[in-house]
Amino acid sequence: MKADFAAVPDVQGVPEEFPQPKRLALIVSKGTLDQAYPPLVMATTAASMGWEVAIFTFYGLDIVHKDRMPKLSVSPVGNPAMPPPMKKVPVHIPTLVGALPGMKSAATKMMKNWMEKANLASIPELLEIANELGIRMYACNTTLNVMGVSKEDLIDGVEFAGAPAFLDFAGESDVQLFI
Amino acid sequence: MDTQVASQVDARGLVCPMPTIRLGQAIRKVEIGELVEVWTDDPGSKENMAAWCKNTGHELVANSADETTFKYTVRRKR
Repeated sequence: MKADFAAVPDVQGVPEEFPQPKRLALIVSKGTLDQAYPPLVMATTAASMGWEVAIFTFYGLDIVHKDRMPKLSVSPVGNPAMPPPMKKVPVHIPTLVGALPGMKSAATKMMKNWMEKANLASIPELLEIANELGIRMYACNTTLNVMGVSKEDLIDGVEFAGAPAFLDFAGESDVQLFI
Repeated sequence: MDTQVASQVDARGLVCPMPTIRLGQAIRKVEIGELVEVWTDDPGSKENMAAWCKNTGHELVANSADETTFKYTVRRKR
């Protein structure tokens, strides 16, 4: 691949008065391997750009669950984002086949393999970066009760707050995302 | 102004968001006014680096490219 510099913006100056950092409020709505990436990539990028970031996990609680987080899986059933198993053969796994025993673990293995090949950071690595960058993580108490998870099951640094706290933070944020 | 590169980040082979995250880590370790150079092969990096600098308030002072690698020089401003 040849590097193309035609579209590179001109070298820029820096304004004397630097504005307040922006804020990002994120809801993580799914705790699967494929759906853990978009919010964590967005959050760590924003924090690396100096933004103040808060992640609220509702049904995405598993991404801050000590034991489940490193073992997040991807469901091949009813998942329109599930790519075909062989890159050169554009045939998706039919939903009925995807429902067979063992398919979930096969799909998870396959996706982890692709992510490794693409040099993508793992979920535990992204969470470590998030922690390093001072991203605040909140778990919702109601979700904990609904999913039968105790506070001790969560990774260090997770704070507890629910919908009002999210709305308060989101109301004062520049970007709010539900992923 | 210092023109020596104080820190070099080889982010070749790493995909978004890692190049800008590595740049952020490197810039915190140099003094204000010093330069960090980032090497990357991410074709989206030109937009990403400009956006990163605009948001962090650091200054993109130079960029160049050869056959395979984009190089960006960023000065820590704050």
